[in-house]
Amino acid sequence: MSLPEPPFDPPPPAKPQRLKRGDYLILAACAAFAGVLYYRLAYAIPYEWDWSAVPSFFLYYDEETGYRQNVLLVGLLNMLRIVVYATVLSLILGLGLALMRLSAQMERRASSPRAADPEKPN
Amino acid sequence: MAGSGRQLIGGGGSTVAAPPLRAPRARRLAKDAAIFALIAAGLVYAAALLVGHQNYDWQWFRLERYLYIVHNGTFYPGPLLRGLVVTLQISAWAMLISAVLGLMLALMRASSLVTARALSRGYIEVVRNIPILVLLFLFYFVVAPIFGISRFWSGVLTLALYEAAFAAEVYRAGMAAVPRGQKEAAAAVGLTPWQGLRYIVVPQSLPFILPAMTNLAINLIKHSAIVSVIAIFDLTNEGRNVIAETFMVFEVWFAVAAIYLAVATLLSLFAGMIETRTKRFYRR
Repeated sequence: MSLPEPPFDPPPPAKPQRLKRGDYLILAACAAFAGVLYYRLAYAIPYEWDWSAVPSFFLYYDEETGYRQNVLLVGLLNMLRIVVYATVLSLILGLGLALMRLSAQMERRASSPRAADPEKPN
Repeated sequence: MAGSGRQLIGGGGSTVAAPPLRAPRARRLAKDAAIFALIAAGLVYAAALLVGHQNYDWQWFRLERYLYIVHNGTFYPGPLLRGLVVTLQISAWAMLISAVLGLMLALMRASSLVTARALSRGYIEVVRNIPILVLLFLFYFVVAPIFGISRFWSGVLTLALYEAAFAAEVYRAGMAAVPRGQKEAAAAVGLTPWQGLRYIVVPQSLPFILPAMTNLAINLIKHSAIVSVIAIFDLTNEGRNVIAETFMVFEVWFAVAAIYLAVATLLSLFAGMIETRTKRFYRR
């Protein structure tokens, strides 16, 4: 015997996502924002872009010693070191604090009549 | 469980017996007292170190005039109180903007439009994975000159844009906490999706959203301390100024911390009040 039909329509199969009118509105707004940004950057504020200098902030080439790390790389490594130390410390401190907060609960459980005398029915 | 005999911990066939009888009360008390004495001694030692630090000259009496001055019966707020007002102004504006922007982001996230979802998702991911201090520098040194935004509003907008990402998550979690059936029931009785949201989903998600939002407001006040690095004279920056003027490093930082603590505590008390009231309201 077959099962009765469910009283509702099965969910429609997933359709491929199509762009609707709202999507085009949002894309137009994004494009307008990008346009204003470009206009302000190009004409309204004087700024000299120089991306070519950026890699040397990480590594630079020294005639005598070869490649050397520069400030941004040092900063990145320092950041990672601090993160590792702080994570370890916070785990330890956090465990201590959690145990201290839980101690009241554990004390209550340890001193409940059930735990105090396991032979005695509640 | 009367008459079940020996009580087992972690039932379902497990055979771990209950812990043995505890140590005698006197010994336990002695142990507790010893631990307490150790911690208290450590704290007292730290306090003594602090007080005796390089013969630090405590001058609490000089602090009052940096909080307020009463001259000829008129009250004049000092730098610290004026800084507190700026902090509260920045936090209030940022909270307002982030609440609205966060709602927009949450609605976009739940939208049926692909681009809206992608935009909201991308925004939240980008903002949540950049330190707020770096965001502030990006905004103040890059975005603000491009669009001609003032210093104050750079601070406000950075905080608002940062917190909006978290507000969006709060809204989303709040609406997700309302069972799906509620929305379906709303559709079944003929409400439009908007009416279903307005009359069914949002009212039921408020008890989840309100406590989290007040938590966000407290976070915002604490995060607002970073605007001091772009020379906005908030509480933290005024504190630094007073220190530069008086060299009362310990007193002023204690005072500044106490003021932040007081404001945050007041807000969380207020949040607790709202929470109990909302709960009572919904139980009726």
